[in-house]
Amino acid sequence: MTVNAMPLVVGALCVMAIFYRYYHGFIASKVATLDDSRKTPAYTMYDGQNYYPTNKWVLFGHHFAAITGAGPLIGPVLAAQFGVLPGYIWILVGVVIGGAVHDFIIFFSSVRHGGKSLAEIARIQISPLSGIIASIAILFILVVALAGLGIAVINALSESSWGTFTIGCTIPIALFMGLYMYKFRKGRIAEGTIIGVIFLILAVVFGKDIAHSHLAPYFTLSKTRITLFILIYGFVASVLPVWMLLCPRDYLSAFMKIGTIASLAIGVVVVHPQLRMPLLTEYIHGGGPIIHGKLFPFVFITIACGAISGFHALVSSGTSPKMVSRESDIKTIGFTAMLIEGFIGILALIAACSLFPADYFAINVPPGVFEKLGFSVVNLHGLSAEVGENLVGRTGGAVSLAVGMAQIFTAVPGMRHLMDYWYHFAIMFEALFILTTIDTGTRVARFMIQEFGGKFYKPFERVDNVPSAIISTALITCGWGYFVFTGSIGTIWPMFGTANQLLAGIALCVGTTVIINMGKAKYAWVTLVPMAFVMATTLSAGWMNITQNFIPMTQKQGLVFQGYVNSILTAAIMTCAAIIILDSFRSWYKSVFIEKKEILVKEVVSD
Amino acid sequence: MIIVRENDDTGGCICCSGGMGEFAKKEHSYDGIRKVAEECGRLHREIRERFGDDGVDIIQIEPRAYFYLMPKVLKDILKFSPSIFSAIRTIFFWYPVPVVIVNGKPVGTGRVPTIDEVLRELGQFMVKSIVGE
Repeated sequence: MTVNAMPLVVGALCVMAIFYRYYHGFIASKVATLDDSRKTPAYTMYDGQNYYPTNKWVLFGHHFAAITGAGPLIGPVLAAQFGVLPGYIWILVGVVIGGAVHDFIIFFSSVRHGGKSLAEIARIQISPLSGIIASIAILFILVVALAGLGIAVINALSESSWGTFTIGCTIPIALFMGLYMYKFRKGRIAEGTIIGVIFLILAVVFGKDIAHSHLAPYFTLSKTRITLFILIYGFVASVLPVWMLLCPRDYLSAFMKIGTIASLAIGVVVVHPQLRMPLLTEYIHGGGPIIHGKLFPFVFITIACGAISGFHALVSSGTSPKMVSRESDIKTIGFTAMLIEGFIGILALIAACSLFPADYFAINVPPGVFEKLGFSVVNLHGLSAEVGENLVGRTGGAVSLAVGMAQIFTAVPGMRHLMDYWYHFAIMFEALFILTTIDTGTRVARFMIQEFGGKFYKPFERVDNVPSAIISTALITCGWGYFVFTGSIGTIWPMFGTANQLLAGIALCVGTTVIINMGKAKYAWVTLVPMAFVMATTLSAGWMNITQNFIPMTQKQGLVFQGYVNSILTAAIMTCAAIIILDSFRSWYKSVFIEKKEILVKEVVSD
Repeated sequence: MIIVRENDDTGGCICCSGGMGEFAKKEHSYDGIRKVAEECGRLHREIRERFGDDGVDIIQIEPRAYFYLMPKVLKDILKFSPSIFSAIRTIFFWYPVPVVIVNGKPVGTGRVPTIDEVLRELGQFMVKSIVGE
């Protein structure tokens, strides 16, 4: 049975609108009791530089751009192995009950704490121990996240001269833009961005000629060589000045993001493709070729960002709370930005599910594994010919998403013969995000290591200390590089999902503590329920990963070390989450029972 | 009044990396961007001290927020009728940042103008509106 995408799109929009109007309205008015007469940090800590009141829609754009990355695109594509329904329902239910509430409550908490970060709020509301544990968890999670996203782009670029040429070009283009905007024509951001976008499109267009020229072998690289290049890139990019690579590419990806996502949404509405993937596949019982575990709990960690994402807590307790001008704006920004991200996740799921199941699996699993599945490809050879790439065994999710997106775009009237260009454009679009994430993530993790190191040897924390910068960058690059070299999407993505969801669980735990400490314990369920669900699914997934995937690895020759490393890292992140939960229980018990009793005793004495 | 300048504490896709956040303050290569941000902050404070919260509408914005900036600038151009050249420059973002756009006209492009320059522009508008009346 095939389903048309249109009812799913309309249904999702309706559910989101109803929840926004009623459930999120209830949380904003009854739980958080947003009060516009209270001055926000933009006024109380006003400095005109970091703290200043900002228009709701400007801040919405800023917040949305910050929370949207590659995560909501890749996760739903991988989860399509379970069928259309599990991913669709989890994104929809997860985003309205979990993700949007998570983003809102942390945003709100940060505003009420003077724009402080998640770790700081945890330190104040729960205990200093929880603050430190939250920072350590963030560092672990960052390493796994970089590996998870890195492997997606590596698999998309290996043996693809067109893709490698186009993505490779983004680096000199960004460097040129950096020099143009900050050195040659200082401050000419618009000119630099227009030139960058034109060059980027030319890189996609001329990539085809490169792939058919004598230069093709120079850009046709094996997975190992691409991994090596990306590791070197991560190392170099994270120590380069931000204006040279990071800032210019930020401008490129900001416009690419808006344009591509809007085009995808319009494309899905215009084309309203038939979804060839069944509603449920046999892999809901486990043994799936992409994600090996059962539907429960693995679908909940495979789709992280589209439904609920811990990284959003870092954004919601970062720049946005310092700039919000009225408390009521938190409702629009916090909830709506996440709802749109969920909608993007649904679009990505639709793009993947519009492929024939056999073609989808042929792309997303290694050829040897695909042969054992007993499928016969339907249109894969035709698709391969149309995009000009061998699509067989291109695991990681990025390729099947690009094929799905390209199929939707080419179904729009007048686009019929542009499949290969759209495919490579989509690959470039995904890689642009991921490379920027690698650059920023490696840089941030480097600073965190330097901070930790500084506690033992003071000069180590100085960011201008060259040996310290090199050692800490090398540690981080080797850390995520190790996972990319030794793992597969099947081992790394669940680890990334586990880590990201545990961070979300930690943030919801902090949010619950804030609600209880506000004297609103009777409404604590709004964060407690998603927290309990996220923690239960994620801790069980983590446990299953260790016992069913990683420990058995230690019994196999050549995989012993990898099995132990994966087990230890997953266990460490789980332990961090468990410590914060236990610490929170102590804080909740104290708030609800002991302090309440003390207040009652005081009242009796004064009477 | 619209202040267009780059953010000094963001970097890259924040999703799945957390973004630079507070760490941007440690990054020496942000110095240039941060210096401009500080100067914009100074101007923002001076204008608010002078006119209060409601006297002047101040928007501080990033260059990439073009889709918000464009209609805002158009509205100002229609309302305050600056010269054609100024209007074209402003609409097509044809100036270096930082820039302060006062009543649809760019003031102090590529650097943060002094409060006197901004006041002069505001003053001209006030004179025009009084003469007009």
